[in-house]
Amino acid sequence: MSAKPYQIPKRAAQIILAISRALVFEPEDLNIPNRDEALLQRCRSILQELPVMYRMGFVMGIYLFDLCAFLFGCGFKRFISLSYEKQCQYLDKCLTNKMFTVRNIMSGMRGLIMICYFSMPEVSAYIGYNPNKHVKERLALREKLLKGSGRKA
Amino acid sequence: MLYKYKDIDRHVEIDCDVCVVGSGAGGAVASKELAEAGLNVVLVEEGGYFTTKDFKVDDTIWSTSNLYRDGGASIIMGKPSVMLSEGRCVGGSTTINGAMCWRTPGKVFKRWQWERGLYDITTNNMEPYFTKVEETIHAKSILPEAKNQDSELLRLGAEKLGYRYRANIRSQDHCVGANMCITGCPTGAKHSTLVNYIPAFLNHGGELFTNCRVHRVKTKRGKVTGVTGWFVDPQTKEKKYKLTVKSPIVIVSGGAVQTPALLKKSGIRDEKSLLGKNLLVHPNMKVVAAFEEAVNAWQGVNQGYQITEFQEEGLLMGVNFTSPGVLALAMPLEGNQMLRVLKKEFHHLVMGGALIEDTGSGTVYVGPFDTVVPTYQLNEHDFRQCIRGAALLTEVFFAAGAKKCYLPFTGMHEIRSPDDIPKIFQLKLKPAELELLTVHVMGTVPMGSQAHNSVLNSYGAFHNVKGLYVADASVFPTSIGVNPQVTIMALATRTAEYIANRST
Repeated sequence: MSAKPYQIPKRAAQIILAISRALVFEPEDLNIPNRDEALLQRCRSILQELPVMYRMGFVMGIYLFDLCAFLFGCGFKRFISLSYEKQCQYLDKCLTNKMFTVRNIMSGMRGLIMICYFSMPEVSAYIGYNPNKHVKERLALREKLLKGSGRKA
Repeated sequence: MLYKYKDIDRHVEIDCDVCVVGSGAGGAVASKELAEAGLNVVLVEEGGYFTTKDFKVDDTIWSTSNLYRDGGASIIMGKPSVMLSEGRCVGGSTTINGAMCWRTPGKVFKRWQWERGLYDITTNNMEPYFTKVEETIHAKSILPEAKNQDSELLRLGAEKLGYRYRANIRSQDHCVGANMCITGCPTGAKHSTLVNYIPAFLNHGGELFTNCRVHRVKTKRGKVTGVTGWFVDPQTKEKKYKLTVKSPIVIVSGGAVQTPALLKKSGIRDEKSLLGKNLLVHPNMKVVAAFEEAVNAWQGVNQGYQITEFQEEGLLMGVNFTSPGVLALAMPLEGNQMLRVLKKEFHHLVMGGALIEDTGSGTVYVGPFDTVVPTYQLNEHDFRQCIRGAALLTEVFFAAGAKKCYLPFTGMHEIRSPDDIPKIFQLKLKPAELELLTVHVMGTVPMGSQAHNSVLNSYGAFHNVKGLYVADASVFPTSIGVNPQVTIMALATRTAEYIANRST
């Protein structure tokens, strides 16, 4: 049987999506088709490149984050079962936690989700960043300069 | 001859004169020089082979997944942990760096002479190697067409404050400032080893195997005999076919984290167990400034200028545009604030970085299941330098007209006036509260004249293993305080010349 590309476990995927919604509030005028799938696909691309131990550690960290909401003062509910407001409050507490280890783990999760989310073309377009157009212009300019010096691009 | 993963359908065994592990600034240079000298060279690269046409300008995740180690998510453990970005593709970190060209400062060479006995590495002796490298990589000033507004603002701020700065020399040919250096140059203007040394190496008959992770450097009775590795499926990460290279000379060029890890895994030891220690990282502090007028930092060259006023004190400052995904990491905002602020201010933002010439150090450990664990502890001096670097950058941005600066400090995320800069020093911050990143790792397999204070001699050869060399930033005995690409390349050229002279 041949190996398959890495897949994020279903439960971990649900938690990642819940964290992403708490981290980035999406305005109504931002429409991302298949937002959840696209985000998870991006997370998967990065997680696949991690060494197995780190990848497992990341997923364990996600589960622990979810479970800790149940254990520590969120009305015996897991993170994904909390209301949106409560999720935001809990996430904020974790990100600014006094314990370095908690902050460190959270900062890793935040980093992964933020880079995946803000790298989506729809988000780039929303904030007005269009690298394709810009690069086309620069390629044309370079070609012109090289032609001027008698060379090919 | 280039062998990509899809070209390999069985285990491979090969004999050669020299095997080089890693195709970045050190490995590609050494490979090309040795192939040009007539030696039969095999170059093994863990990452894939991508050319200018393959780079995707609108997909940062494609770039981090395919061009960076660990998908760009490498971490050096410590308080604080340090984010590490290093290349893992043909061309190594030169494929994803900012192309900055600095010769090694004279003060660094002097330190290496005094402290490590490296009297044959002097500014004068290194001159021909620097010249050769700079010619090959087209180290030149930037074109007027490539200039951009964020670099101009840095220059303006420095001028107003009377700080010295330098117009950067970069490895480029007709770069017009696509400003996509860190995700792979889409115009081909950046002269990474991918576009100069690697093609020249292949033209001289060199053999390049990609997607192959070397697991062991083989030795027998104090002599190196070759390497073994596995071709890894880039999609599934499955180890598919084995590579066995028999070679009397091996040059390891995997960077200052992977090189000592590979050597340790291979059972190679030095007299004083220095291998893997002395990890230096050039910690980098980020400050994001918002200006009233649109800056459009993506239009124009990456790092046009650097402020050199504080170089003697170990501080170098510049600006560097990054895509929204990476920029979001540097912004101390969450929830509905982040998108709102980025939508409103993205065109007005400038991201600056202060590079610290560090005096603290870390260690590279090898864990189970092929895991490499780098650790680093920021010392008090470097911690103070980080704070100072952020404060100085903030000062420069305000002098250039910034309306506010976003700071990476708990308890002070935003500052709106230069009068508030002294407050940064009253924050009672702890090192663990800083957010640091690095793109320069060095020092884990240091050179020196004696085995008691070094692992390698001044040519990058092991003191106690015949035929084993290192050619990357691992060989630096100390931090160098400037972008290291040209130093690595010049030392690799010198190492290759030494090997070629002894082999012919």
